[in-house]
Amino acid sequence: MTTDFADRLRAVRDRIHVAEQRFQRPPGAARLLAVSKTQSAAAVAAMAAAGQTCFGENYVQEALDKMAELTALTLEWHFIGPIQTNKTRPIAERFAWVHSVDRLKIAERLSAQRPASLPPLNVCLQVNIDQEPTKHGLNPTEVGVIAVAVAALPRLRLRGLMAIPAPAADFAMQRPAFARLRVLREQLTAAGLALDTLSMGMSDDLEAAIAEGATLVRVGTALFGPRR
Amino acid sequence: MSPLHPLSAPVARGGLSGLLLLVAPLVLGADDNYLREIEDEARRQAATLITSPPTALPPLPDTGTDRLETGLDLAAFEQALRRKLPGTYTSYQQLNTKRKQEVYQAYQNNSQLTNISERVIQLLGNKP
Repeated sequence: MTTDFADRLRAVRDRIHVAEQRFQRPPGAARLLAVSKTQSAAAVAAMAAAGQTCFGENYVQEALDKMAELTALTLEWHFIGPIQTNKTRPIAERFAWVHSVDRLKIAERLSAQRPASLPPLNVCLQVNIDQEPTKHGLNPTEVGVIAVAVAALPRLRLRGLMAIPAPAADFAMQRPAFARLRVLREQLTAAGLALDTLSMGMSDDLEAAIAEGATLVRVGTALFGPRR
Repeated sequence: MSPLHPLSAPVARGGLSGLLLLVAPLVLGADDNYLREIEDEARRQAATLITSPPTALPPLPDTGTDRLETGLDLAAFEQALRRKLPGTYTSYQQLNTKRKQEVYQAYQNNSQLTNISERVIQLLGNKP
């Protein structure tokens, strides 16, 4: 199993590396976040043994269970799923990053609940970049105002933006949504927010995301295979 | 009013290259063959890069003209706010009745989404 994971990890890293070169991004500009939701702790451990250290989880309890099994490993945990108000405390206490902040209230709770013994929690604002009615995320129009408010929270470090665009068939169709998120971040940085992160791109569209400046790509299927 | 509040710290904007290269997408399969397919596809694409002139940026939502429908009563305004500005609406819900009325007043004066969003956050921060 470890060999399979090592092969898959190598293949995904190669895709990222090729895309970075192709689109004139510096080597290592796009970090790989292994999306381990629904995967077992053993699978995470195998991927960690292959050299992956950053893992993304969507469900709080599932993530906490895996963390409990994997305490011997030094892993960086990212929360990437929808956040319920009553689940903010374990997220604030146990994760290094949160990609899916889509309400100021959630950000305020995360800041208030982040232990003083830990560094500030890295957060991204989730943007509903295609303004799909069924998707979570901020309307691009309101991102600026919310971002300024979140950036002022003492125990958070606003790092950037995250989006899950509507599925698109090919590279050319995938790219515009990522470009919109990139431009949105550029607008925010021009306004004085030091944002260094674009969390965008998954197994099927990571090349288009890297072309448009992704700094974190969230890959699950291509690493672990289809979800259980 | 600008949709963004300028902060004091200067920020270096990250630059992306002007060279845009078009490639076909990678297609992933779910079976054991997909690794081989990825590698083959990557090699194929690397050999068939097409250089194109920079393309125009896709338009962002026009924050200057993106507005709520005008003439809504308070209930309809709140429904529209919830639908169009979900993050702002959550903050709006934390306001007391008087401040909600102030937001509604702001909407009646200027229905731009950014204006409404800014007003909500201003009132939220201006705690009694």
